[in-house]
Amino acid sequence: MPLPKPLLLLLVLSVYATAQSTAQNTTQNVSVQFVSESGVSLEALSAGEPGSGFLLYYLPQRGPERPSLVVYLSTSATQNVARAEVYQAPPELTYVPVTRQAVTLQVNVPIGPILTFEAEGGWWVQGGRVNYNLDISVDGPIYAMWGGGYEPETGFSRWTAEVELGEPAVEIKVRDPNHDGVPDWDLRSLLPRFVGKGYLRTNYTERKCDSPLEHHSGPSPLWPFVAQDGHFEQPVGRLYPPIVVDWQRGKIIYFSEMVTARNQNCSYTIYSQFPLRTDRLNELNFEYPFAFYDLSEQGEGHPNLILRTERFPAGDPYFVKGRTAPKDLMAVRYSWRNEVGDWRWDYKVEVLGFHPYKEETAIAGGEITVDAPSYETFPTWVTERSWPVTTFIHNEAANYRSSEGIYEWPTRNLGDDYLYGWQEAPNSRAFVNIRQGLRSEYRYERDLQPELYVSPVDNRLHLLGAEGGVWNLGNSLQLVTENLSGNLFLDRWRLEEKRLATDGEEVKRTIAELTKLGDYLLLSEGDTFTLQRQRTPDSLLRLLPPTDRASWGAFQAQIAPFEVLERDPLELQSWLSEGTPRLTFWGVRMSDLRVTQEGFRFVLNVSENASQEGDLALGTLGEIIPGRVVMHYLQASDTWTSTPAAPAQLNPALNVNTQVTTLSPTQFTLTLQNEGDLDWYGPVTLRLGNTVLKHWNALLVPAQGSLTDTVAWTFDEAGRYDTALRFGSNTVPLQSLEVRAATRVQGLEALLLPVGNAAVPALALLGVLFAALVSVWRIWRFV
Amino acid sequence: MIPLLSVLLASVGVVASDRSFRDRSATEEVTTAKLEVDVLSGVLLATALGLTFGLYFVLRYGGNWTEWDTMVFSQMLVWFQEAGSLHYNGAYDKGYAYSAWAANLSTLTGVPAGALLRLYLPIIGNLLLALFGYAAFRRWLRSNTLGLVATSLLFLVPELVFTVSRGNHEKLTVSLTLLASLSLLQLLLELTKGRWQVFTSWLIIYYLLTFTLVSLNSLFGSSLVAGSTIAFFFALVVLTLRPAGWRRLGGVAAMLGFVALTSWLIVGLVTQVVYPQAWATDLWQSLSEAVRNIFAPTEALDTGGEAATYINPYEIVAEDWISQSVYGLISSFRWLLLGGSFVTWLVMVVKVIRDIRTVPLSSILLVALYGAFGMMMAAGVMVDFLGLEAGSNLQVRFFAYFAPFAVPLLALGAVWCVRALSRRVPRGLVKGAALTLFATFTVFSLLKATLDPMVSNRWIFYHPTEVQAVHFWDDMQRSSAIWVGPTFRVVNAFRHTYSSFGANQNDISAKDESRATSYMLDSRVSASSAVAWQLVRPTTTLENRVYDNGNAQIYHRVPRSPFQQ
Repeated sequence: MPLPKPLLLLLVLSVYATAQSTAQNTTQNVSVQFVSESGVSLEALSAGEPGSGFLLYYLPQRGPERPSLVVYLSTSATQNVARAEVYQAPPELTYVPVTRQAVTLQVNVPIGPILTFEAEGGWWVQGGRVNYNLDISVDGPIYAMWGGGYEPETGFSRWTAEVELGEPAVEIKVRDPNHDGVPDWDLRSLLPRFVGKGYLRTNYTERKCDSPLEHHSGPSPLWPFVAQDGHFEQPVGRLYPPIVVDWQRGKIIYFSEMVTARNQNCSYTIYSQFPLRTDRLNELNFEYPFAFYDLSEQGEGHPNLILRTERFPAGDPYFVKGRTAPKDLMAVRYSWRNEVGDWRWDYKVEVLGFHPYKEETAIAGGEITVDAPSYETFPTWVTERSWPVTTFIHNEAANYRSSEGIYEWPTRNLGDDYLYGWQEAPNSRAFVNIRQGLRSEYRYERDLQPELYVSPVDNRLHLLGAEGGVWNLGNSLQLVTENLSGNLFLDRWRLEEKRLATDGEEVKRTIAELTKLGDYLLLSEGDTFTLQRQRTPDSLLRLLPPTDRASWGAFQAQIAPFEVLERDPLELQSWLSEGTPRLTFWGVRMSDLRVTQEGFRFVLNVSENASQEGDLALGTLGEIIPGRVVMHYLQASDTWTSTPAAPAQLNPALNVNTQVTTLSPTQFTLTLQNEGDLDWYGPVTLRLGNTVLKHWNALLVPAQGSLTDTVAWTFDEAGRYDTALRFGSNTVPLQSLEVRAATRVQGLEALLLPVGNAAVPALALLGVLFAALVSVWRIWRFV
Repeated sequence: MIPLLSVLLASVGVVASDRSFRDRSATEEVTTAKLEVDVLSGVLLATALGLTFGLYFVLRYGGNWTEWDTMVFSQMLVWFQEAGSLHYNGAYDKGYAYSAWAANLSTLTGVPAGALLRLYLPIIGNLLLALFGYAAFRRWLRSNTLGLVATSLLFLVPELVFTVSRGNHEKLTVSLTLLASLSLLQLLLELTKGRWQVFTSWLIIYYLLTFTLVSLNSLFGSSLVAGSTIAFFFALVVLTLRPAGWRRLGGVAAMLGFVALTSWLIVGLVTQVVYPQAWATDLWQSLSEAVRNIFAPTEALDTGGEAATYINPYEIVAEDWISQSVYGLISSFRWLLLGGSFVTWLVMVVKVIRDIRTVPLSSILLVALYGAFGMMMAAGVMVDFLGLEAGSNLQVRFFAYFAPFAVPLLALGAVWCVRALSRRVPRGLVKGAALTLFATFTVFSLLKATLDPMVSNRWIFYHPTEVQAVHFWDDMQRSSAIWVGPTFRVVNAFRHTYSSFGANQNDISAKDESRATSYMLDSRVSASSAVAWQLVRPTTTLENRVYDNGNAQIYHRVPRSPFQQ
């Protein structure tokens, strides 16, 4: 690396204390001294007059002879660029070695500046406005991009630790096109290739709306790029100088973001593992884009809508280790607040899908084009598309605060292998537990827009097409929602207590259960069962998440009437409407509720002392007798049937090919016939000797129905095998079969296998072999 | 051009050496063979031997064979031709010369690179081994007949036949190592005779060959340089023990040291200046890794966060064959070669030490180089056992460079034995037994070198319909994956045939059956291969058969989740 351009400068010493004495000795005891060889003042140099000089940043106890940081400023009379070179202490020292005589100053840093600034227009500060049209080179280990690493105790980590001093590491471009002293965009590129490593190679942040901002100039207001202290992220509502120094060690640790991503009202941000190029449409990955919106237009430094994307295009080398991502995959975390942004969040809809990006969005002042949707269109781009996986969270009571939205229940919890189709089953624990105070729902069996609806049962917002959900109510209570009918609306709410047993297993106890099927509400609470007829629509309101100020306002206005009518999750009894016909049974337990093709059915377990009361007419079915009764509602005719329930009776049958050899697949067809009046429900295991051929955790064989499944299997050992079926506590022996060993190709078959059955190649081969042997004989006859 | 030039010059050198050999044959050492074959007959017989082995290798599978190295080089040749430059994406990082030579051969002849490697270069490789072997051995052993016998023994080493037949650089590195050893011997012989012009010619040829070898492969191409260096130190030790030899051999030893030293400069020139990638990716990494692991041997097994999976190559090798006993039988010549050459070497070492003033220089150098290459192979075994990244098959790779120096010693020993036995047993019987043994080893060699399905599980052949099926699938699919069998057999075949594979971002996977692949290939060969490996085939019976060309079928898994296609 080049040494400081003025390796040995003959300086006309013009010690000029920086303009304000307060700035000379500011907080944290960092003092600044300006030394100019050309006699120019710091004010003039900063404002754009030609000349040069040194800024010495030092701790008072060390004095200017041992500065922690030195900046060499120079402005050429002929070029319209001001230049600054920033020197930190060499590795073995805690200060920048300078040699200073009466009229000379020399910086003795062998590797050169670690930071180089170039300011368009040739000035740094004019009329109190800072010039943020900067090109900055970072040549060494500095945490200058999101994804770098630094800890005061352990030092640099990740890519930052791999960069050598003097090595071009990061290129930064910051622009303020309207010269209002507020940087508009900040583009950073990681320069070393770091082959095979998934470091973030691109950081881009663009300010998209005004946000309250308080400028902090640091210890040298006329070159306001050195901070007293700080971090990589800018705090809300403030803009600190970017160079953050460990003053004791004389080392720069951060080069802070100059346009903050998270800590303002609006921004369009990209964090990608792919590098950007100026000569083509860029297809990037990861947080692409990460967009922050202030739908209230009254924000005070916080967004109230965040769209955080995780995107991995097909072939992404960093996503799935050792495998090629087969298709574009993206998840968008869409969190919003019904109030002015304050980092608290009311809702989240998270979607996951495989949509390609086909846009051409200009960023960085038009210098670069990316294929991601623009900031303005992105919310609509998300909500107008259908997504195969969606989760929804309503923050009912959680004290939740974050700068990136609601993290819980990310869609990728299902497992990337499942989402790519590499696995048949999703992660079974993906959507089981949730943080207290959050009400959450999921959907991954239907491709739908992220639409919400208000249910007439609880008057709350739900995810359209949801398959289930959980609301953690605290005190070990949760309200579990289910979709029994498989239509677009949740229809069962189960209040349950969930505790951990002493062996660590979760133990659940149902307290109450309310189901809406057709025009009926069924409430089961211990030995009390209530049936109520209530003609209500499946949904009272359907709406999409807000995408702009108008839809945000409309969203609030639309849901406000229902918020006051929301049901108490701890009192399911109160969800039944007054004034509609109902029938209540005491001493009766309801079970085995199932939707059928004709309507729905359930089993009532009626005790000897059962009683009933109500005004709902079920015809003759209103009179029940002790025992188990199957109740079946036929929707088409709006009639009920009831039959005494004969217990489930399962008859298994197995069909298998008897000519089986090892190493070749064969198949077993299992048929389970239930001849009883009750459904059979439980685990089933098909065994082959001691081997489990297939296990069904929870198999439902409907009453008077049958179930057939085919299992493929390949034997790796010859022998006799017995099959057996275990269901419930029963084990039934099934068919036996003899498996023969597969034989390897050998002899003539092996000889001909590679060349087919043609005799000519085989003969040619033998001819060549013969020729080889003759050659050998001819050679050896000389011996 | 330099590699081609050096081969040309070396050929001229061989002819020149033949002339000088003929001139001196009457006055030099007495040959060990009774009947001396003339040079032309020897060349013809060696040619016949090389041709037949090469032809057998190609014809055994009707030209439908490939394996990992052959597939990789077929791709690199195509990329080289497309780029028209030594620097192309995916370039061989250990040397440029083989790609340049083979790609230009393909361009000049119009034979596609893949076909060149499968159909023609195995024949050329065996031919070069036979001819260069004969040229070298007749000088090392000072007899055309013994040279021919030694040449024939080369082909009983199946590892060597496989090495020069498959599609990588080793057909050149092994045969040119033989040629370089001849030029080394000749230049030292000319040194003792003071014929400086001939000496200079041989020296230039030697340097050109060394340059070519290192350009072919920086590691294995340097093996003769390393061998000469070790031989030089051997010479110093022997001469220190037997000072009486200083007067005769001191100059030769000094020249050997000089040649070795200057050869290292050539290694440096190629790996530092001409083709620096070779240094960066091979020697440096191997050496630094070796040093690191010597000082921290436990790290040798650390694969970077993942579970360490050290595989002992000597334990798994038998899995590749139909049985341990068959493997032992078809590999028996290797043990005969190792044992026979070692015993002969010991006898010759004693002779060299005892008669240092009279033992021919060629014998002394042969003994020294055998010892040197033996040491390198032993080091290879150690590297394999340590489980270094460079290892896992280093011993096998070094064996191909050790065998050419072991074979002449075995030939010498074998002829001694035949002669000795002929005094007690009827000569016809002895010759008949030797011929029978030789014929048996020839068959073993061909079976093992071709990894014949009669003895091997790791097959290198394929049926064209298998490639046709995968090609059809690749054409139709995008960002998809197919499982093609329990080994990389079809993967190699497809990539060998279609070097530009990848446009549709499809994955062709092998080894363990994975539920991750939506498609599966089945074929008669695939099914037979699964039985050979005793591996369970995928359960295709429940899946959809979406393609069938009569021999190969493609199945598509029935989607079992909304995310499977």
